[in-house]
Formats: sequence, C-alpha cells, structure tokens
Amino acid sequence: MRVLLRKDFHGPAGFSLRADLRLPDDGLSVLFGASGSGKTLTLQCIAGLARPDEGRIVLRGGRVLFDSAAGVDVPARHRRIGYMVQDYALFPHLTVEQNVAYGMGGLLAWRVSAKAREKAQALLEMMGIAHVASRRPGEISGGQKQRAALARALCIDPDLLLLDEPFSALDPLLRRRLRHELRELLDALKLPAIVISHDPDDVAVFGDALAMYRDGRARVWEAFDRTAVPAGRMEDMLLAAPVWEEGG
Amino acid sequence: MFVWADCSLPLFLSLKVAALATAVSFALGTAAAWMLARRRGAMPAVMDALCTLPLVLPPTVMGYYLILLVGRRGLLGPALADMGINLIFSWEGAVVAATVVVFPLVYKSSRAALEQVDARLEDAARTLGASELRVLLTLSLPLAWRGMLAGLMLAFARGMGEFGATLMIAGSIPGRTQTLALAIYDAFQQGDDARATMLVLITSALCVTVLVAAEQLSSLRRGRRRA
Repeated sequence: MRVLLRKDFHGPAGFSLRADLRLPDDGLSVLFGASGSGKTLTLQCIAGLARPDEGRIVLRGGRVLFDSAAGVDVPARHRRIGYMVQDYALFPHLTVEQNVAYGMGGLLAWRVSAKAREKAQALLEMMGIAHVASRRPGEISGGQKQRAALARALCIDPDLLLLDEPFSALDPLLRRRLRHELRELLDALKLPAIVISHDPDDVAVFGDALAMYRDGRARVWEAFDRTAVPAGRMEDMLLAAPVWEEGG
Repeated sequence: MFVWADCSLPLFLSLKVAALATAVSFALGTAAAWMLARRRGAMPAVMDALCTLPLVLPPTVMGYYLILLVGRRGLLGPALADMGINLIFSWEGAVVAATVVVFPLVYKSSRAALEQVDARLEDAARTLGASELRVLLTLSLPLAWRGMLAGLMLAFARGMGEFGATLMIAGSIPGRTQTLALAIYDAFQQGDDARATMLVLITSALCVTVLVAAEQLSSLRRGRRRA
C-alpha cells in the first residue's frame, strides 16, 4: 500500500506532516517516533478522519481511498478500515455486546439483529470476553476494554487495521502477554495492520516493516529486519537508525 | 370578585402554548445545533448569530418582525391564508411567537451539549460505518440529552412568561390568546388586584418549580461525572 501525505497546520504552533510511505500489503507495519511527530495524524488520514492538503492513499489491490489530484476522498464510513485508539473510545452508554455489534447496526443502537448478535458473540468468544458481554465499558478492566475495542473493529470485516498505541494504557506485564496474542490473532486472520508505538518491544513483535517519524517527516527504513535484531538490542538499533541519511 | 375560571383559563392556555413552543423549538433548535456544532468559520458564525438573535432583541421587535412575516399583508400572509392558517389574534400565533422567543435557549444548550460529546467516540462510529444521521441518533443524542433537558426546561419556563411578541401577534383576547403574563397585565390595568395577585403567584410557583427541577438535573449530571 502507498501513503503519500502532505498536511500543514498554520499558526504559532505550526506543524507540517510530510509522509511518503510504501508499506507491505500483508503483514504488520510500525510507525515509530516521538510523540507529536505526526504518527496519529497519518492514521487519521488513512482512516478518513482527517483530510490531507495533498496526497494519495492507495490500499492493496489498487483501491484508492484518497487522491487530491483526482478529487477522490472516500468517506470514513466506506473505507472498511478498523481503527483502534489509545483509550479505546468504547461507547459508554452501550453494553460490550452492543459496542461490538455497532458496525452491523441500524438507526437504533440498542436493537441488535440476530445475525449481528451471532457475529458479535463469536468475536467476543474468540477474544475471551464473552462473560462481560452485557456489562458497560465503565465496568470492565483495561485489558478487557482493549479486547472489546478490537472485537468491535473486527466486526466490520476490515481490509486493514489501524492501532494507535494499543498497549500504552496497560501495565507492562499485561502488555507482554497481549502483544503476542495480538500478533497471533492478526497472523491467523491474515489481516494487515499498521501499529503506532514508541515502545521498542512493540517494534520487535510487530515491525515487519518500519517507518520512522521525526518532526513531521516520515520515512520507511527499508533495510530494517526485526528478526535480525538480538534480544534486548532493539532500543539501541532504533536510536542509531540511519534512515535519515541518504540510502538509509 | 374572584372567579377561578379567570385564572385557570390563562393557566391552561400558557401551559399549552409553552409545551408546544418547547416541542417545536426542540426539533428546530436541535437540528440547527447539529448542523452548526463544532463548525468554525464566517458562515457558521453568521448562522449562530441569527439563531441567538431572538434572545437579544426586545420581544416587541420580534413580534413586529413576525407580523411582517406572517401577518395578513405580510410576506407569507397570503400563502398561509390560502392554506386556511391564520396566525394573527389566534392561539396558534401565540405558539409561533413563543417558539421564536425560546428557540435560542434550546439551540444554545443543545449545541453545547452536542459539542461536549467526545469527538473521538463520533470518529470511532464513523470508522465503523455509521452515517452522520446514525452518529446523531445512536451516539450524540443519547449522550447529550441530559444537557439538552436543562435547556428545554428553561425554554418551557420562558415560554410560560412570554408577553411582548405574543401581544403583538395574538393580542390579549381572554379565553383565546390571553396567556398568564398577558392576563396579569390586564388584571393590573383593570385594578383587579385579587386576580392579578393570584395569577402572579401561580406563574411564580410554576417557574420556580421548573427552574429547581432543571437545576436538580444539572447537579445530578455533575455529581455523576465527578464519580
């Protein structure tokens, strides 16, 4: 897939994003960089929640989501992209089951069709949270919320999954376990995903491809191979990334 | 001499007018709030000013504008006459006057309530395939309705007390268009102190009740949020 973006914010705290990324159609990619470097904005543009000033976003199979030159801007609701944000954005007034089934629903949020209920149940069971299906998001733990948000995103059968710091709100031990579970799940579903993180451990597990971000500039580190990095050395590797020099 | 009917008629008329005005301005005010929520720029600013205008203009000025619009020789007058609708000197006209006057109250509180809904929730709904209307009905309104309720109660209380615009459009016809506020003025002018006092007490009691209820609702919400 190809993500080519330019977006400028004017004013005293001016910020501009310039990204030219070629990411694999399959497998997982990580956007890595400091806070405020433009990673979230990139995901929002891909999801259709923010509009680039200029650029092109093309998914696998040549599906064009955005093309400023050709005047194409597919609305978010038609992009079939699952998006999971840092604090999960679960709907507080609906139960976990209703949250998960939301993508299949009609104009009344609390009326869930039989088909939608079946699908939601299957996903809840796959994620191991079927026992909290009738609770509200305010009543479940952080790990359960994360799984509920994931189930909700998967319910629409997305072509691509976007995950914005999926583990930052969880404690480190839980993080480790969920990290591997997520990797296995995405591999089993053959679902491509882009993960935002500034945690080297996430890069070690999810970084089939890696894009480095700094102050609004983004570039893919072509030579990066996560399997070739010795255990515990990921942080050093990332700090010394040569990607900003020519031919990096 | 004190006659209860002299008080009950204006009371029921006021209740009817205020209820209808609140209902209509809820529909229109919420629609306007939805269209203008979170928008910035020149056009939305102008629209917002127009929606807020009746709050600032004197009611008699609003009444005059309404007559220009829906009076027999007004802009829409002939069209309305063709449809058999007459708003001048009728209780329907009182409803129109009250609606225009309370509209800004509903609009402002609905807009504030909608803008307080976490935008990230709405974005999540969009990525899950929801149209803007679906986002409004399944997410924004369910999360914002308590904030709107306080505005609606305020509108109802204000609608109960409408005087100036109502007088211009509907006149002060006893039994037909003489709402509480107009009846008080009428009784006062005629020197009927007993009637005036009774009407004032009824109106005050009603307005205080509505305001207390609205405040209780707001503090309920505040308390919940703190928890």
